[in-house]
Amino acid sequence: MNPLFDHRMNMSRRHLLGTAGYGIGAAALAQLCQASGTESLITDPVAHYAPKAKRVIHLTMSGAPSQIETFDHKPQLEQFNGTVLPDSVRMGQRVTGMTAQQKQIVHGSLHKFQRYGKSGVMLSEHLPHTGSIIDDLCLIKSVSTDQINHAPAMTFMLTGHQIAGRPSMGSWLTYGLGSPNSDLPGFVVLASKVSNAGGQPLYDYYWGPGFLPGKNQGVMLRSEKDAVLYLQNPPGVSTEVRRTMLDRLAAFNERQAAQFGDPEIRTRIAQYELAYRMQQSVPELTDLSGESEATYKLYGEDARRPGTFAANCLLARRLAERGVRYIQLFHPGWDHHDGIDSKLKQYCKDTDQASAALVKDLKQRGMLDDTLVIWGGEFGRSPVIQGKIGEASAGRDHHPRCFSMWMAGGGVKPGVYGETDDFSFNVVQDKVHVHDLQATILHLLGLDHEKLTFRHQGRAFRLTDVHGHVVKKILV
Amino acid sequence: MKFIFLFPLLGTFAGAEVNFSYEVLPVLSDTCFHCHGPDENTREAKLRLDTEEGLFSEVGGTPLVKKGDPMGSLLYQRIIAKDEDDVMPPPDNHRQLSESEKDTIKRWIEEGAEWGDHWAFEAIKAVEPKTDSPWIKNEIDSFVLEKLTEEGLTPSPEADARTLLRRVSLDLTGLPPAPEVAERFLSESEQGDEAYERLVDSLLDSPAYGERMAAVWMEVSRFSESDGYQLDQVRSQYPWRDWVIRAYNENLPYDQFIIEQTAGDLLPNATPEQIIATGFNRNHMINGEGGVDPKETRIEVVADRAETTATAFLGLTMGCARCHDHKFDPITQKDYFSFFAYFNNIDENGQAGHNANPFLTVEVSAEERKQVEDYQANTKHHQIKFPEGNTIQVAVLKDREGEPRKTYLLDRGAWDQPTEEVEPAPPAFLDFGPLPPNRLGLAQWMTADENPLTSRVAVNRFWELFFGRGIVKTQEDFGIQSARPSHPQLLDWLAADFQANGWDVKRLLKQIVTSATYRQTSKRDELAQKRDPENILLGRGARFRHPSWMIRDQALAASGLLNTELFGPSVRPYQPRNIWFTPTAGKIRYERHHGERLYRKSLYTFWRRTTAPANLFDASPRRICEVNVRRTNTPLHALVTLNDVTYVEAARVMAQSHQGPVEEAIATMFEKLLLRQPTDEEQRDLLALYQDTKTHYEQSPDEATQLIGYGDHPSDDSEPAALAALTNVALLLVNTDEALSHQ
Repeated sequence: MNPLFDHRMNMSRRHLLGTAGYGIGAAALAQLCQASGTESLITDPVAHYAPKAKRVIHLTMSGAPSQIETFDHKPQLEQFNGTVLPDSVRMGQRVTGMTAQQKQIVHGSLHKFQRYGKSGVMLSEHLPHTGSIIDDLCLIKSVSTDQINHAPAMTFMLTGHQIAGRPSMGSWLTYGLGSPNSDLPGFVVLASKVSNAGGQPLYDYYWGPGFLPGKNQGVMLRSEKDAVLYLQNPPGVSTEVRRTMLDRLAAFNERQAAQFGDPEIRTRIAQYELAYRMQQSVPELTDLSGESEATYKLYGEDARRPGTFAANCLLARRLAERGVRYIQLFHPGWDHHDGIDSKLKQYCKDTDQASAALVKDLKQRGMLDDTLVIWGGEFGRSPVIQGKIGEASAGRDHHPRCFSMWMAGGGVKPGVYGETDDFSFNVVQDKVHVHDLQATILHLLGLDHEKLTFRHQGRAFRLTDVHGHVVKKILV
Repeated sequence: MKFIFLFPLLGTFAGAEVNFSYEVLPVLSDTCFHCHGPDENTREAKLRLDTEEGLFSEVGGTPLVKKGDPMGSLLYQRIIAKDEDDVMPPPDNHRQLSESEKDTIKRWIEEGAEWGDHWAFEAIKAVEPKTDSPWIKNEIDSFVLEKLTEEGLTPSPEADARTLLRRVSLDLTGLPPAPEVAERFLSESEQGDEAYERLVDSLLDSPAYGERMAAVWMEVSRFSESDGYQLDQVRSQYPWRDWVIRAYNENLPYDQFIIEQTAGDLLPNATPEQIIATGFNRNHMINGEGGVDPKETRIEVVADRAETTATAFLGLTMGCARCHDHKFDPITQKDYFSFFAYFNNIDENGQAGHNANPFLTVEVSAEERKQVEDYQANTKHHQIKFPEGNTIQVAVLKDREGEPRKTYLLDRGAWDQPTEEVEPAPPAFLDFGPLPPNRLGLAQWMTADENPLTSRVAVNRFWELFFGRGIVKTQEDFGIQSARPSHPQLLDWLAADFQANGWDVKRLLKQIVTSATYRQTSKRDELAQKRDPENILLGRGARFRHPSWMIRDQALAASGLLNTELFGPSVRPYQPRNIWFTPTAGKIRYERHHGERLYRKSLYTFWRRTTAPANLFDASPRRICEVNVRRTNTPLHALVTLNDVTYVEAARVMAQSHQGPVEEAIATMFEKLLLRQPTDEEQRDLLALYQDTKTHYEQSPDEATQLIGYGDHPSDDSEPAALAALTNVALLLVNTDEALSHQ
């Protein structure tokens, strides 16, 4: 018996269009609607482009890494060390309440840069592993956002709107494309367990479905005993006992379905079965005992400890292998208002090797071509030093106008894109607004950001609101 | 996207004349208004189709609409044009007209092109129902039967007494009936309507009624006792929640319910309760993040109040007009900020947490004060400042002394871009007569007889509780883009009747649940499923999954664990380990309660805005006002009701409270939860499960001990294998679709 097949057969159009809890994509949906001769208001988004990427791994650096100390090399800035940020550069840019009262004194990178790869791109000396894959990366130095505080900016990056309540990018993608794996959710979230992550908590609405059907919600895999909330049977209920009980329960519900004729009952039977299958598939997924020594060498020893960024990168590869559509890792704590010198070093150390390992691993398995890897935070940091220059406690405040991100695989062209001014303050060439980035990500997955819409509150909503242009120059 | 399937059923006007408001205006709005609608800034060719003047104007000498002559009407010429340069909407527009929509427009022109406003903005016109039949118990049924007859359908028979008993008890009190209530009704049910009415009255009189209704209002009002955002500081706002429970139990008229929540502080000789009621407009999130500008925060909370009020009471998507004129409804950006102005004079400064003025200091018992400190102590990293003595602070509304704060239209809605000054006022298109330019005036405007929206929106929301969908499906939007009402005359009759009878909520609910429409069986045959899968025409009883809070309360009640105490500080029941780690960046641990507080109703569960209680699935996240009911069906929900200690413990306690032969124990549990006796087949299935698992547990006694020891409530360990087996039986019952559903 194929429960998924049976399930689909038992579903009415109502379920397909609205309330079903199953990963049937718009493509399948459009097909079914055509087959039944019904007009559909959903434009089939898949038809617009051949997708380059089938899935996304989004390495989300929550708290906003400093582009000045990592990717946006500005040797010219050093000659201005200790001077006030010129008004001609600042151009009225608002700063946060944390530095509004102090003098805007600039300072160049606190970390050294060096050349990497054949392309000779300059990166921080604390990113040697990222440097080793630089020739595979599309480094965008000109990303720009509208938001200057963490929660609104992260919400904007992930949902296209600064106020919570709209669907997350991963929800949009599973809504548009469905998910090929019927034993796992289509949108999976992993968060590094960082004990002193500063003030950027991760809210569950970052991976929330907003107004999309609940099945498009991201499911967090925790590094606890229960990787998915409530996944484990209660103590004293073995798989065998549970199976016996579920079989009897299904019989009850089948009779109910026959008596009441409500197709929702059959959907429920299928969902209980999927829950049972997840109980098998998730532990198999999170069991890393079969991974080779070579893999641990690649990802680093941290990958042996559940909840680290490295372990999550390894899990991300395993999720990608299982066809999960959107895999989102969060590494919180990049908000270095103080002690940026030492803290940033540590953060690079915690993430550099595993991020690079993930790209290498996907490449050696032939999966990089159809997996889009994205690395970046919600905004950048200012060339202005917060606190006293030269002291260990010095840091940098938020900066929305420019920051760096990188993408790899999935149809993006390696190279460096975009340029900022000498202060890493304004974009001077090829600005990539957050909505452009979102449009480009959807495009790589074969979706037209203007056509992937959902009707809510009387109008059609989309990830990019009414903005966004695909950044064509970075496409293969 | 769903309404396209309603066409065959909403053939209200099939064969009859095209109704402009219901059939033409929504189509024009959806396909044309984006470029030819109310928003001046995006208007193309200076042409607007959303006003009578615009729609009947001429372009280059040709009338857009020539009454009786489609081919002489430019509008029609353009929508059927073959040339890509001429056709409207343009070929690259996402929304195209279907052939049937083009035909409707053609027929409308042929029939004389009668103009009409959007139905929900027109005055409520109560038409007395005409249809009569022995099936009819009250006016509701008459409207419903008329529609069914038009479609060639007939109503379903009444559900049996037990089904009806369970349905109406859960609907009105959120709980299965108390045993004595059930017994009385079942013994009297032969007496028909009178016995049923007595049952309904006793349910409406029970304190659980107020709690059930409050549960709905908590979602609408985005009630939570934390700020949201980065620091997510906690509040002691439960006195407002308790006010809502009391308001429903005392049957406060709904207009008064609106007035007190909007402007209780401005009433003459306002009581402390009336001031607490204004906490409704203080349930918003507030950003205490380090870098935010409090001036910006203040603007955001005022905007939230305006948008919440518009959604909750008026069904208007006012938020769309913050940055520009509304794309569909006649709400200008100036209207938005005039509405915003009502809430812009609060004595506040954008600070969060314990500085989020204004507060009302409320005297509480020493024990209660201790409880509040206890749940606030969960946030160790905050500087907690408590008032002196046995008091707590409740966030309320209070206007500033002296000159009111000026309100400006904000360019593109940005907090720091003020332009022209505006005065408090309702949206111009719905303004009738002078009222004070303050919140009390706003409340009077919302509850005035002339207001076409408030009572329609209210009766529609109440209706949804009993039928799983509103008469207008888009509860959040009664504007031009809303779903058309399935029964427009019924909606208007109910709305007018509600107003005329003093906005009496209990009376309205009694009308609904005593109708023959409500009392139908929810069984359907294949034909009914095919003809009306969503039960839009109400030819059968509704069938839908209960909200998660009700499913939890039901399990606790059936096990006897439920603590029915009313009111008071929120409690922290079972939640998964480390549930607050990620959302609080590792700073705050969830420390659950022990003993009786574990078993309070879900309504009293402490709600942290950044992480909703994990087992209350499909709840509104309570960040902004949400009136749409979420009802999804996912494996994650199955995992909750199968594995959460709340349910497993309830199942075990249910199992251990029955002595005697196992057959009897099974039948008793069955009756408790589902209010009926198992059929032979069901009994056989459950006994087989019992026997199979008992054999297993006899061979694995450790597993039995583990299962029956799960949860705080003491277990009866005299026969571990038998109890463990029976626990699985009870858990099955809790998870049946029947237990999870309104049916």
